[in-house]
Amino acid sequence: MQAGLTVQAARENLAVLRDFISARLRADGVPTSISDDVVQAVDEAACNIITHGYQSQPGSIRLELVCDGGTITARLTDQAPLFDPTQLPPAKKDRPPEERAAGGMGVLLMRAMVDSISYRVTDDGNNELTLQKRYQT
Amino acid sequence: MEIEVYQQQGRVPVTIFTIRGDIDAQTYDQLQNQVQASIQAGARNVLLDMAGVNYISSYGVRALSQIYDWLRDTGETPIAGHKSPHVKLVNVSAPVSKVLETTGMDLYLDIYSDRENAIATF
Repeated sequence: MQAGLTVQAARENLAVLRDFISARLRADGVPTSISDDVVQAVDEAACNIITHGYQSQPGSIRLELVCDGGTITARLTDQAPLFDPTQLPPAKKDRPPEERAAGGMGVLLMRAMVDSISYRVTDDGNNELTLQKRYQT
Repeated sequence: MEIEVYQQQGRVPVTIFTIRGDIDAQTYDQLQNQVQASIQAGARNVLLDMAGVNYISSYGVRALSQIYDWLRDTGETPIAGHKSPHVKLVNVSAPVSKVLETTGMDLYLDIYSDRENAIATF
């Protein structure tokens, strides 16, 4: 399965991305517990792009979703100023809630829900974040 | 997201928020603002019924964290395992439960599976 979607970088479109991923992975027979994790990781990543990348300025986010042989790949591309979310420190879960930054909790969740996350700058100078999750078919 | 608020008398008055929909970066402040308004109106014991919530993002966790902070015992420094006696959750779905465990919020919030039992613990 291969599918793609482009949305405006706005918080109201996070639900659009989540619904798209859920529907496509469900149609491909992926277990709900697995697709929930991918949905969570992409939502956190897209929210980081909107908040830290575009800093709530107008822009777009492209999602490419591939499910092949027990590996789900979600690739997010955007034209925001270069920003590598894999360099953000995750929140420490043993710290009191008031001492945690929301961005750090997003990174913590993103890393926990998928098997690998990688960032690169594309040849045309865009941000590209790739999240992968493997599961038993 | 839709939130219904009503009060039930247990040993003390408990303000129950029945939440339906996703709690994400777009909606978290709706929950936060509604609970804050109730606290300002005098609510001291809050039960969040999460039966209608299948998704919570880090922003939703931030809202829970803020609510915890408003309602924890004043004067006490929060430490892992110190659960506020004034804010609790009930009917938490599996994906939401996983997020609470992953972020460690389950160390700060009591979670119940039955609403009446939860009300009785305040």
